[in-house]
Amino acid sequence: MVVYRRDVRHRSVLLVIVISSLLLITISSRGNGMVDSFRSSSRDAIAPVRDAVEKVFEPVRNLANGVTNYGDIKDENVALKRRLAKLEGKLTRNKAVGGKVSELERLLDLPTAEDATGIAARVVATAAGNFERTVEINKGTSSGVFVGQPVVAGNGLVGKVTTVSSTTATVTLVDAPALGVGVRLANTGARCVTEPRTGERDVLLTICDRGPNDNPLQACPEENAIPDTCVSVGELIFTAAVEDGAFPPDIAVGRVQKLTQPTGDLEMTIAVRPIVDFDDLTYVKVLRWPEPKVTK
Amino acid sequence: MILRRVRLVLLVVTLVVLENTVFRHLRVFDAIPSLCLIATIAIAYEEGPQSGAIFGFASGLAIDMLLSGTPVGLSALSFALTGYTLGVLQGGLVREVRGISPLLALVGGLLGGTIFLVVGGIAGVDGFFTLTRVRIVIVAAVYDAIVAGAVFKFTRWANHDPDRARGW
Repeated sequence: MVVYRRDVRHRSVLLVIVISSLLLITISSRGNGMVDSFRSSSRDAIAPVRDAVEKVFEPVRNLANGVTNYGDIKDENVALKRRLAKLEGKLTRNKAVGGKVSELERLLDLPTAEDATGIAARVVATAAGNFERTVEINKGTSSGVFVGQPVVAGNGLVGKVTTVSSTTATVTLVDAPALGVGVRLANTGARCVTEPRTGERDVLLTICDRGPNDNPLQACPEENAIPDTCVSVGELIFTAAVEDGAFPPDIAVGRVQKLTQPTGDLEMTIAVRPIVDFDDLTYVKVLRWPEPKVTK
Repeated sequence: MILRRVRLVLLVVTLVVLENTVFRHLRVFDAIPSLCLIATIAIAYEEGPQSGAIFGFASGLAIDMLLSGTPVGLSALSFALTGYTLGVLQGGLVREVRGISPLLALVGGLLGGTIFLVVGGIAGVDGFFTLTRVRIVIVAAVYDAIVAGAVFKFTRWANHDPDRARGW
């Protein structure tokens, strides 16, 4: 009899817990201000402890990275030197074109990434748990960071601010499944939308414009390719200019990593590797986008 | 009694901080161990299903507060159900088995991860029903088994109270 009563009590406790959890999940999924503010406060509360532990752990982490990645770092250094030389040449050529583009943008009064001022922030933590593609930064509403603002690193787009507390903000990365970005291919100018896949670092491009002569986009053959009529591996992808877009135009998003033509499919699959190394982020810039308008 | 509860609260806080700092940088195939889930399993093994469920709910809720992409209550539910189930299984053991912690952590990790994915998927969290997620759950469960010994010892220390009967 005693055992029976104890079992009933155990089940009642479990039932209360299950119902409470399901209620919380439902309330939280629908977006609730109180739940969000609890989460923000928790993050703020843990931030000083986490920062202190991170500081203590940083030299050990750097040492471990240095030892385990020594070979990779050496190879990367050689590759970067080669790439720098190549880019210097390209930069000289682009300068001539750049002047014309800026002039046209000014004429059309298009906003650009340069128009947006930013808030420099430090990445203080990577994703919590096993199922998130986010980073946490050390600036929040008290520094002017708000939900929806784009975040960039030196070389390209990082993601978008998705939650914010007074001292920290969570940035959802470009390769997170919930985030789609309107982009354009550098050579053809075709517009697409990124479609990240769970657990994959490369994102796919979907809903692409058609290529020249209204034909589906094609991969460039290895030789005799006219780059502005086809897509090639290594081609850069930039954010597209969209009216009231979530991101300023012309921020580098990634490079075409792989082109595959599925059998029986007219459109090819374009896989893009984000240009920013999300595993090695230290500083980022939160763009005030759209720039607040001055009212007279 | 009060001292034990204070120690258990400190245990949860310490494990949450460790999981969110040190272990974030020790990812193996994109997975980190779920320290609070292992502590829940340890409590369930020591105290039985009810205590396992209550501790799992509380520690899961603490973890939920620091996540941003999943609804609050998801970890709480999966930890509580895992704690309850393993507590019930523990009741079926005839005697205490030494060195069982890795096995319990592996089974609990798989169970907790599966509940998390299934309920999360039903709740509409993006990309939860994918093979990659299943792979992460499996790797995380193995990782749980590797660190289980240390977490079980820490949890036993926090839960230790000689002047008390089993259960909460």
